[in-house]
Amino acid sequence: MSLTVFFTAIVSAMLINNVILMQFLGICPFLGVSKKSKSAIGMSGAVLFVMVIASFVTYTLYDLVLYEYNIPYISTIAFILVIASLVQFVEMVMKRYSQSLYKSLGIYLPLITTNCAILGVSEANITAIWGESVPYLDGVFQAVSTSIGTGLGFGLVIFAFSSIREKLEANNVPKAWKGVPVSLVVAGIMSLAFFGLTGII
Amino acid sequence: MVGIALVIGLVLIFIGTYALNKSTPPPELDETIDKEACNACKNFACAYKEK
Repeated sequence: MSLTVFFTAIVSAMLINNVILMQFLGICPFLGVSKKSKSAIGMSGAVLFVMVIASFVTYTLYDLVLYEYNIPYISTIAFILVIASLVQFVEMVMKRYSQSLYKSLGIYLPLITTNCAILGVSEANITAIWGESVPYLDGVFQAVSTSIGTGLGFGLVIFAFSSIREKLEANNVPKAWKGVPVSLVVAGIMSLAFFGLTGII
Repeated sequence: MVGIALVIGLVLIFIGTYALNKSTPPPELDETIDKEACNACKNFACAYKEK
């Protein structure tokens, strides 16, 4: 556990292996909740929270229970149930304290349950970080660091994309390109830009 | 057996959080504001609700 590991994991997960633009996970909320910056920020906060807690819980569950009792084959089911419970909790808190955000996120809030980015990060933590010789604390620290970076990367991209989409709404876009087509072109260009960051670490 | 118990436990936790979520009422922010009363009192709560 060190600051170097922490920052390397964050920069790597946020910029180099960006979950949306490099791994193509979490495309549904990326396209669905990026019409307004406010909704994008709210969604990013909810995803970051669920992702970090889910990574901690799933890594702990795998290391201390699934591996110990030789039942790693139920890891996907267990991870989905953990994520689903966390999403219900976040939805409850949001419903209670921020109705405007709750309404603006709409159907995408419960859909965090099926956001493959969160399950993908949980699974990637096991395949890439977990090992028999890796001490539990080191592993969980790296898993949480990676999930923070991934969540921040998700937020960075979805916020930048929503800002561009807001600008596009006010601009004179050809009729055939309005809406989704021009958004997908923007997403492609953003992906190319992030591809240029490969190899900085 | 441990696997079955684990899955059942996680399902029960999910059902618990789902029930709590469904029973949580959303805050009522769209209540009708009495303009005259707000102008009379000029308190923070009125200004907040008007937003």
